[in-house]
Amino acid sequence: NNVIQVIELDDTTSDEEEEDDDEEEEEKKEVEEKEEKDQEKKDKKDAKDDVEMEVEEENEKKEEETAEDTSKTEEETPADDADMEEEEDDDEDDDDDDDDEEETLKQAAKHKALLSVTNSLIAKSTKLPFGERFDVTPSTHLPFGKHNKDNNPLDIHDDLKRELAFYNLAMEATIAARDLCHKSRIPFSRPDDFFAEMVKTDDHMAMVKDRLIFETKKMDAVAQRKSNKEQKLRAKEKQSNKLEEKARQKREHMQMTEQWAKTAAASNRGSGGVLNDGDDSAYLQKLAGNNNNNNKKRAWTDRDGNKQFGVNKKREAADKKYGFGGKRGRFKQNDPKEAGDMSAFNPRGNFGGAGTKGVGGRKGKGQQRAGKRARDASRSRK
Amino acid sequence: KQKSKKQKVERDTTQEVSPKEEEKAQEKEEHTDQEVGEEDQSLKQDEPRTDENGGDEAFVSDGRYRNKQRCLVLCSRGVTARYRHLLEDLRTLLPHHKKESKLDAGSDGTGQAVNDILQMRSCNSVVFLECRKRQDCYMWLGLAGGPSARFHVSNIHTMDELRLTGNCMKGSRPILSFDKSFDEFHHLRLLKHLFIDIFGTPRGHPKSKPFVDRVMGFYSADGKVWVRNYQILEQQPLNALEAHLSKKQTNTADKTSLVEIGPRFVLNPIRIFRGSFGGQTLYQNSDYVSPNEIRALEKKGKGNAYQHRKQSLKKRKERTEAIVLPHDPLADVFQ
Repeated sequence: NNVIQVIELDDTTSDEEEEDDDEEEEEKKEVEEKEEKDQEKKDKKDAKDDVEMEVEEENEKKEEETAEDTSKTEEETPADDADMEEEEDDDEDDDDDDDDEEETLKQAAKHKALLSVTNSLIAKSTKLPFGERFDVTPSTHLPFGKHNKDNNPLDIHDDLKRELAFYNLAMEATIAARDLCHKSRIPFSRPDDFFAEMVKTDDHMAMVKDRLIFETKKMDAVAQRKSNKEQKLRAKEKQSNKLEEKARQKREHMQMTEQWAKTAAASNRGSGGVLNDGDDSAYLQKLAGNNNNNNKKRAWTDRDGNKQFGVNKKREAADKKYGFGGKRGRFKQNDPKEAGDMSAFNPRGNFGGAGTKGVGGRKGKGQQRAGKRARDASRSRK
Repeated sequence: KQKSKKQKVERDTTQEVSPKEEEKAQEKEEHTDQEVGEEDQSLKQDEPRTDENGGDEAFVSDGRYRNKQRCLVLCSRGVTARYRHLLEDLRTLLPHHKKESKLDAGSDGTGQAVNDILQMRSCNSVVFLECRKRQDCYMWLGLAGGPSARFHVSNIHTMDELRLTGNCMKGSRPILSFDKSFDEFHHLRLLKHLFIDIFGTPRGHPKSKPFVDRVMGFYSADGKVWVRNYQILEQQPLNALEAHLSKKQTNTADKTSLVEIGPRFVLNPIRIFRGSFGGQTLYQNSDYVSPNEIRALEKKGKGNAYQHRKQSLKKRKERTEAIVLPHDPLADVFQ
């Protein structure tokens, strides 16, 4: 449309400008030729994107503008200021328009040449099917320029995001290529038993593996150190709490016993002031409180390393069987009843020598003593 | 049954599977070695043969090497270790390369020398790495007799780096992935076809391997071309849920992932020429600043400090001279 307007302007200019007009017309013709070529190119191609159209239109407009700048100042409408423009043309052309025109001519020639060479290359390569060329163009744009969806262009120097964008585009390309290869019956996936020489040697890959292991170890070491620090802190806190608790309880207990000791003498006792052993046990028991420190409900870890709560039955059974010296050891311990058993006490004090037998001696066997086990067993029956 | 037997036998010799082996075998006997141009027509004759899928992309190659590409890969003298390693990496990635020793430019200049070597070795394309001042690396990519482009290479990471952990088959044909903007700008379209010719392994090349292992990504950002190489890893899914998810996304049950192989570099286009290493300039990158200029600007900037100081001293002197208290007539009133 711009081209048509320009042509009209040419018609309205005077004879003085004929030479310049001729040059302009040549430029216009070149531009027109270019446009025709573009049109042909457009016809050749199958699908035309809007973006491409825009770009080509922009290019064409640029060419037109550069071509027009040399000839006219296009701000005014053509019909009104034709005479004005003629005068301006005189000045411009005289001064530096020659260089500008040469420039634009050069630019136009370059552009034309570029297009022609590109088109010939394209023509050659479109004869080859996909299987020969193996080129894919994924449809998403790179997010660096104006094509970012959030209208927030990615900085090219942001390495991580840039490489991610490249990766995603390559991913898309592989998926598209896989489909195309399936259609063209080109084998895509390598089977597991196909061995071939690789680009990097095995030694090199071993070094790569070592480096990867080293890096993972480093990361793990850092993580472990951090967790150790944290754990230590927590354990320390816990330990200090425990100690505090213990100390507090001890203090309390001592205070209470002192209190009791002070009040005990003054208090009324059932046996009229005579101290008997069993009197205060109930009171003392109450003092001690329901001291659950010794209860068996402690946390314990099972074989797999899991923490368990509640009674550990195995532990209890083992304690019962083997605790405090086991069967034999326990037999040798005194219980309160036995300790207070005065039946063997003879106030007359008739101590025998070597001949006399012990308390409750054996009736049967003569001087033979029973074995230790038998003695213990018989003892327990008493 | 006979057909399947024949298929089995043929599978050993040819590199690709095709159900139409019988017809192909007959055609093979009739075929003679032809130029690529004529071959294209015969390929076109094969194309309309439709598949069960009905797609017209169902052309199957007969395994012979038709699209003959030979790429000359060489460097200039004065190339440092990093660029030398990059060149070696490119050589391993391009099975259709021809190795040449370091170029010592004769009296005619490097362009003429390279063109001579191209002709001698009968190569279609060339990758020439030029190192200036042992600091800046320039890469020329060109087709014999056709357009060539000069780039400034930066941000090189070779395959030796231990952080690039991928690995691929030597000689496997890469998928070339181009950014959408390679279709929009004219100079990028030209570069796209250069890349396809040079970095794409031709089908049926004797050193090429049949399966697709590698993706080579070309991205245009910030006016430069970023190049990346990835290995395609397909892992069996661990459970049914993963299989289902990946099937929805990618139409296969395998979980596809990419690992970077390297090398990776950034190409800053400087100029595109119509001929090989010379000729009319088709495109000149207006955003390109040569590293020499950058260094010169930096050094100038350092000199600025001295100049700035001198100027401020001068200003201060002038100011002190200019600011003069006016004579106060009542100054002597009190002593």
